[in-house]
Amino acid sequence: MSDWLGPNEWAAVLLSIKVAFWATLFSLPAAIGIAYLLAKKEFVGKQLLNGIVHLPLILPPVVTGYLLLITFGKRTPIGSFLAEWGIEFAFRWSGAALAAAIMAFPLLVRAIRLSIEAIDPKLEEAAATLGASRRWVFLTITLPLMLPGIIAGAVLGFAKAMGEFGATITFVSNIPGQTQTLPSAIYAFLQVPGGESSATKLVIISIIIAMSALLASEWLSRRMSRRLQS
Amino acid sequence: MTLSVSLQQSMPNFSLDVTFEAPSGITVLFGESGSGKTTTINAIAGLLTHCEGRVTLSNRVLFDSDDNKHLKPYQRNIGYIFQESRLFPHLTVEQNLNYAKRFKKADKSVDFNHIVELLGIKSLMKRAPSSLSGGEKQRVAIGRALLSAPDLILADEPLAALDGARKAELLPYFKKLNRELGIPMLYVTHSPQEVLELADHVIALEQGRIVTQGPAREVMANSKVARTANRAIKSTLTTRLVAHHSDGLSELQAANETLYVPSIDASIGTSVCLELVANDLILSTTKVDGISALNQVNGTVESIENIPSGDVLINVCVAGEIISTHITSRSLKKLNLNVGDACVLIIKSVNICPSNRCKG
Repeated sequence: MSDWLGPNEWAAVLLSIKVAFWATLFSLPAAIGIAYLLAKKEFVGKQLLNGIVHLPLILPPVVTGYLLLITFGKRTPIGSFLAEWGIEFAFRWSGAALAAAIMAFPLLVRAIRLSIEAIDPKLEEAAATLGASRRWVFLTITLPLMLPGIIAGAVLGFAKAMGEFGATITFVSNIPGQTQTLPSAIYAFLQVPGGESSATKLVIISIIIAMSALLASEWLSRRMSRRLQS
Repeated sequence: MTLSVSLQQSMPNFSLDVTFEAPSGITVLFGESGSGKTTTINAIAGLLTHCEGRVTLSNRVLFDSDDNKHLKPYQRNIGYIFQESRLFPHLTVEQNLNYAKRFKKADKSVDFNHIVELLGIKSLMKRAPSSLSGGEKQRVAIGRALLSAPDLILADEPLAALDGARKAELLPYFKKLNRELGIPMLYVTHSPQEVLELADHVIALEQGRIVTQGPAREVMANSKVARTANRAIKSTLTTRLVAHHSDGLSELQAANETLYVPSIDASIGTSVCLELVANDLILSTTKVDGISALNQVNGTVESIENIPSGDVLINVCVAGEIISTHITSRSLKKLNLNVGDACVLIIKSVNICPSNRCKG
């Protein structure tokens, strides 16, 4: 495969996988927490939180990217504060991961929230009568039962993170080997004469990844829900 | 171990006000649906929070609204057997049974093997709950509650979702468990049969109030309770839909007997389960002319039972199924019916309703 792909193309594929992996991994716990809040709790500002979570889905990605840039850019207060701790986002692969995480976040929350809402609260009641405190009920009943949703959400989020373009290119630009993810690479190849064949290869890889992610998530959640049917 | 309960709750359409003590043994809360049985035991379990009153178990205060004390369900050490077994679908039978283990207080010990043996669920250990039959699920659920080493067991119509044969199979377990393990039980039901089989002490509820309480025979003989009890005696008859008539009736067939019922929304040939309330049936020795009731079906007297209210239940075999009829002892004398006699059941069409509780 490395013969078929040039070094730049290969780097873009690997970088995309790395970015998507870390984006999914870091946003997952937060997505579970927020999905749980939205599904189970009533609180002031619930609709606002719901709105903010879904905002990246609706906003033009370039706006999200710009907002990230003015929040985490090197010269901003947050950016320079984080830089003192050795954390830099702007024009780094970690920035691409942050942008991807934010863009994939609504998809994660949505899938997980649906799976929480599908859990029969009567099972959680039953666990409580058996002596499980709320935390134990969550760990032993709610969490395992929402696993299909978590996995489906993670796979979908991973695929979204791999394909993120607008926010990423706005926030961290398009530096080969640094921040040039798969979609940015495709875009770059299409800008130069004779780049079509490289672009086509990456397009095929994108389709394969997206398709496999969808099939995998479908297969996993179906397998799980079959097991959980009572 | 005595449970003492005083609960008040007022809602727009319903108010509850009950005060009672449940001694050890099996105490049955008896009443029609909507009488407040489930509300009461949910409050005892701590699953229901919007009520006033006080609940103590031995000397332990579980709930006291005056004191603003409200133990969480997991702090109450009460086992709950639900109507739908509520087994955890992601765990095996064995894991379900062991679920309470990690929360158990160290000084409590239960004999896992003994309970598994009693319930006859040893062979099910590795199975998934989804692969169990209704009766098996419920036995596992009973075991799961017992293995949490509770001070009290609450059972909310644990047999209501099962068919007649499963009910009969499961009922003895409750008695046996109570006898062998000595854990007091508060058992909710609307079935008079279950009351008579199980109860050491009965509390009869109606519209959120206690009508009467005491030993089972005594309570069930109370005319007010008997009325509730008799309404709950129902039988089922499996029939096949054979025709729809233009005057709004559907024609059903059970063996050789034809029945007319208010139009049923189903296609010809489907099997229809009918629910017949013992109180709604008229018994006759011969077919009767000049009567509005459309259905007269032939049967034979299978058995005659005395019921606590002083009346009798005539169990009639119709098309291979047993239909219970509730009549007074005077009627029985007048008809002079004996076991094995032929008789005719007269049923008003409008009193028949389809049900989904037939076996099969």
